[in-house]
Amino acid sequence: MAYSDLTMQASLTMGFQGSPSIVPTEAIPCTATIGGIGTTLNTFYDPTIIFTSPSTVGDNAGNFTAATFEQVIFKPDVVVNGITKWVIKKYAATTDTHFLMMDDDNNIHYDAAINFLYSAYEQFTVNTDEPPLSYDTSIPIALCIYARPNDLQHYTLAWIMQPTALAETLYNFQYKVTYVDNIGSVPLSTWGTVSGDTPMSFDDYIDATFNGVYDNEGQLAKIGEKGGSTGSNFERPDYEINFPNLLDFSITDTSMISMYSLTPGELKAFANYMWNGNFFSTIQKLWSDPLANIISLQRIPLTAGQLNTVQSNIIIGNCDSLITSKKINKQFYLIDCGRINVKECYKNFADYHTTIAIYLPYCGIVQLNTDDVMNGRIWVKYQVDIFSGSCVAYINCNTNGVWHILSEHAGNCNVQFPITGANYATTYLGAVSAVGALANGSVGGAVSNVLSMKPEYMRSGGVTGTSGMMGVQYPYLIFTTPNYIIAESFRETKGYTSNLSVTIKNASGYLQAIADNSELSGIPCTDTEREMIRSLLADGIYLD
Amino acid sequence: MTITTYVNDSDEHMLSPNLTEVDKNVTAVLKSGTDILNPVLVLSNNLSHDFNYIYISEFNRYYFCKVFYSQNMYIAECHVDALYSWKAYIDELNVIANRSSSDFNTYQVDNTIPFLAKSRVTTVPFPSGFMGNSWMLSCNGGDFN
Repeated sequence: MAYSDLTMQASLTMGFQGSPSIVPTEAIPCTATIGGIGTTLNTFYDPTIIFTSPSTVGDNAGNFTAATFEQVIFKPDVVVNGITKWVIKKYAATTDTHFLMMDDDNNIHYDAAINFLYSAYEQFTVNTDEPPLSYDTSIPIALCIYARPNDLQHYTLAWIMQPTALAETLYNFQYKVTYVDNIGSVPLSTWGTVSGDTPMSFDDYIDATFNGVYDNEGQLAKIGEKGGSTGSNFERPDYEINFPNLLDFSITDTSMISMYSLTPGELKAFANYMWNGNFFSTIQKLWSDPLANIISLQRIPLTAGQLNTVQSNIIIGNCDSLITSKKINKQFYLIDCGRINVKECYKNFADYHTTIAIYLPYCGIVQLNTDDVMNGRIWVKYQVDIFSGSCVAYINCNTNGVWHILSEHAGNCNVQFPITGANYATTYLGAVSAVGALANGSVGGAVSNVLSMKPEYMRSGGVTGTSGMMGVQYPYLIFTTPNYIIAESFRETKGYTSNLSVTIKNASGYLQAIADNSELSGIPCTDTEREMIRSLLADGIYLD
Repeated sequence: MTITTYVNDSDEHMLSPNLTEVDKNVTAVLKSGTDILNPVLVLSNNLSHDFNYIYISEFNRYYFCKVFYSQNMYIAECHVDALYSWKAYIDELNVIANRSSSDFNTYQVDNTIPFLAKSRVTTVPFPSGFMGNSWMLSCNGGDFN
């Protein structure tokens, strides 16, 4: 099937979930049909800038019946075999723009490991090519853009479907960006709107402004319900720290050790073989302790289907058991647990008084720093060494458009089964002594890692090995959200915290304020009255 | 002097009190020994309605007042309403708001908001995890042919 002939159905949902600078507005679902129109990648990078009004069809991409662009969820309803790239190119005056690539909640997209790549804030590409390599359902991916006004001029968003790395066919659409006021869902500004499909020059866009969204210093002023400032400019660079690569060596490469994935039937057959005369008579010629050739029998937290295997007989040392099984030829595996949006509940400071813990299978419950994850995304992946049972859970957070691995937690996910009495002693008595060491405070190695993962509240004990396998097998977040009840008239009678510069005639309702002497000295009243005014302002006054 | 009397049903923290005019021409005499901020007035005896707020044009100020009858005279003890008297100037003040109904930042910690003793505990699972488990046997050697 030629990808340029694909007709893609996309659903478009507006609204905003993530940024503190733009707050939720009512989602307006609309649909778009995108298809049949493609161009080359090179053409895309030098696009004709076309802007269309929300109600018109104008660009070369398809039909949009209404739109704002704070958040768009695209759901290509096609079978995608190959690589899907999302490319965004922005036209901005500065490089301070932030991007968030967001995907829909709890959907198939989480099964796809998405590499989040971008460079120089110019573009980023999301490859949905690992694993699985193909999708037979929709891939909801949302793009969320927020920016300061001088940064945000125009974005072009496209997705590329690549059957191969060489043949790139691009589906391109362009749309304007609109800020939406949080109060009453009234657009603050619809700059750049043009009638029909009339092209608008890029320079005209540069002149566009957002009245009332920013304070005098150009800081984001739209925080929470209204007002606010982010404080001083924050210029520290922020670089992506992504998941480490999967270790690419394997103990099986050495030919010293072999690992086999066995069905229960194969295991039973192997046990029968192991204890018959042929086995011992063969192996005893080579080893004084024949069972030493069997390193371990383990239950590992991966299904046989997840393992890289080849059909092979089970061979111990140089003795072929003639029992056919699957030989494992990869030692390290990646488990992608997917991503979760962590949304603010209250849209105020109370959200940041929420305590957030994460349960990690085989690692336990870990307390997270709320600032690391609130109003952002959290992504958990495991790297598992099936030979030793060691696993590391990586917690990748993104609250400002950049992913960072902010914590790693080690555990053990294999269950060892004793083959001999000596083996039993090693496995189980060793575990007991480890617990004893813990109690005595002389901890080390993996045990100390487990200890460091303990949360402030003891929600779980050790969850490694057997107990880990008996536990929940997927991570989950535990939110402990402060609960408050606020009077309906609270805002009018008490106001909210401000710390903003206000001209009194422009304010309304309740105002508690500090007026400095230079301001008050302009009032031709007595000193006593001036002090009364200062005192009343400090106590709080009610305006019209 | 002539004063204007009002009924004020607002408290002293209201920049623009809710006033109902009672009488525009009430004759009053300033008692000696009082000041412009807390004047005491002797009023004419023909007061027709109650009032609790006055405007003295000579002072260009508004006052809260308490009226009582003593020694065959109506006496009004007054206290200046500095807010309303200087409203035109106060309106132009540029101040740093600690709390406001109109200009606020909800992400600043607000200790006046009362939290309940019991928090809400909720859980959100990740979309995926460990899908199952299987047997694995590890042996020495194995590349024997």
